Amino acid sequence: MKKKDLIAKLSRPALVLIIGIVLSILSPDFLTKTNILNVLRQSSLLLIMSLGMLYAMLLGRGLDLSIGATLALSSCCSAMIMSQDPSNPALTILGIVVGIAIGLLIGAVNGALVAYFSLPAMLVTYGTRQIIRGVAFNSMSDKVITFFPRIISYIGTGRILGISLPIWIAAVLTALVIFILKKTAFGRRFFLVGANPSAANFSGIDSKKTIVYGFMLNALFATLAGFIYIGRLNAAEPQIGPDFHFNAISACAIGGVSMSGGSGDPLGVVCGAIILMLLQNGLNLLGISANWNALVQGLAIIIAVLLDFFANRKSNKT
Amino acid sequence: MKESLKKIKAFLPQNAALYAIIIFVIVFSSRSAGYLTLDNATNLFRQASVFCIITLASFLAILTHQTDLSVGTVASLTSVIVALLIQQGQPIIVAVLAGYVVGILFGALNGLLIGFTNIAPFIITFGTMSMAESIGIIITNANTVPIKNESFLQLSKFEIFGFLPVCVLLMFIIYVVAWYVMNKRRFGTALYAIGGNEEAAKATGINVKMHKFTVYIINGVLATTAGLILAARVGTTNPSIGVGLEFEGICGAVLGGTALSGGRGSVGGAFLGAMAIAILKNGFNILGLKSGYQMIAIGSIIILILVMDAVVAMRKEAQER
Repeated sequence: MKKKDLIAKLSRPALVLIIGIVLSILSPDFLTKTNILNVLRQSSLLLIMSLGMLYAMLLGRGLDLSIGATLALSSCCSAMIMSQDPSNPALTILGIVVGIAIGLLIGAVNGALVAYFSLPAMLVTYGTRQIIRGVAFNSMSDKVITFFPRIISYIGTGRILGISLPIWIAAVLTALVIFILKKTAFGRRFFLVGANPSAANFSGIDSKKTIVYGFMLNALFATLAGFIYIGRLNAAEPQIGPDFHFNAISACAIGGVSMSGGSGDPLGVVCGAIILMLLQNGLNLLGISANWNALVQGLAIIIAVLLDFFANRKSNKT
Repeated sequence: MKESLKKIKAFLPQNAALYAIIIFVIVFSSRSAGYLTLDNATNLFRQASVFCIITLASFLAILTHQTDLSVGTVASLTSVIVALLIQQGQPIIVAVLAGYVVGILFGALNGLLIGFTNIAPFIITFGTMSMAESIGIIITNANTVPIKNESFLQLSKFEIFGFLPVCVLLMFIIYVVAWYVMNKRRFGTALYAIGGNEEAAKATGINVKMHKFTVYIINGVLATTAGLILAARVGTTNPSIGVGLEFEGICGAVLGGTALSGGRGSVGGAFLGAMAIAILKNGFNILGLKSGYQMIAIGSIIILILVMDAVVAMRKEAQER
């Protein structure tokens, strides 16, 4: 393995470790089982969305600002169906299917606009975000749905072996994403298209279709995160997740995903999500107001991309 | 027949924003009796002044093939800083200067990080966008800040000749200066060159890094000016008041004919694009459209603008081949 790759691979886990050590020195409450599990549970929701964002960002067409709105609309629509009769399993399944279908549809539209009109994803998804939120507000008309089947609440709050179910789900999805991206031809397409779309076309990959799939997967992960979110909150409302896109992009940036596409490591994204939550947890434990969260997050993004910039420059010189 | 059609086409203005404005004005004036009055026009321009200035900042960034996502929250940050300082009884001039210092500092931070590295501008300004909002939230403790100083509020309230608010005049002056610099000065020509082909611009001896840096400094100044007007217009400001302006500004610039690939666009076009979106939002408010429908309409129009821009670009590419 080249030195550069090794640095890229190890720098993120090292950062997690360093922040963890600093926090455990600063606060005696940090290194407790409940707190660590708490950080992991908070990271899990973010991680699921960030893994979706990884697919979109690998393609090198920019970032997806619509996942918060997608999550809101799909979970609200599912909730509307499921809450008709929470004890009816058929309605539960129908609700889940409809939610996933809405997510996939939104992803397909985003992806098609980005791929077939060569548009920057950031602007497309800014536009579709407005539309999706608008539809969510109109269809819910200020209602809050709180009546869910037990399975949904269980997804959000259940435990297996003392560990929250969202953590298990995030772990399984991470393993799945690693497998898809590293071991399958389908996954390798994302790296090729992101690194060099015309070369990918020459080697027989339909880069436009790949872009559509990427945005569909991204929306699908947001939808899955939505089920966990409403299950944990026990409420579905149209304004949920206004800053989810922001957090997922931050986790990817901190996790070392390239902004120009073509490179990014799912394990880096895992570290990125955990770093973000460690920073929030640290501020909280140290008694610093939550007002500082976004500042720390913004700084963390800039420091992370600067680190990558200098690391790449050095290794390119030698 | 085809020839004459071509002649008519060449005679008509090429700017989509102009047609959008005409259509919007016709629709809104047919739906609302008080629409085509001087009072409403004054109001419209007063509301639009902030957005027009932000769009100019977005235009400069896109023209040089960059993005500046921080202008919206830098505007809100400077507005709360000015409001807080005025609330503490500082003279207006001190408050305004402090606002500009902060705006320019953010511009310099963006400019340094983008001009002198090859990191994507959107992720840098994405970071500084959140920092600016967060600093505003920290210093106000997430509260709104009222401004009670009457003379500061005159920036928006006072109407020259009874119909031209000071802030609108200020906005026009900024646009005239921008037009002059972009069309008559070497700096403007250099920005077009950088946006068109950065390597070629470098080869002709243009200091690309310094020019990019300067664009972000200018954007800091523009965002601060927008923040001042915003604070004066609403009278109570908050650290999130400018969130979203940066994306709408980009859409305004693109609607006004600025190519997302850089190098093409005009100051006048950016103004028309900004006015088109401002007229749309103002009209929705006058018609009392529900916020959900407003979001759907604005989102759809943004997508439409982008697709149109893309189709035009694709056609041009096909012709050049």
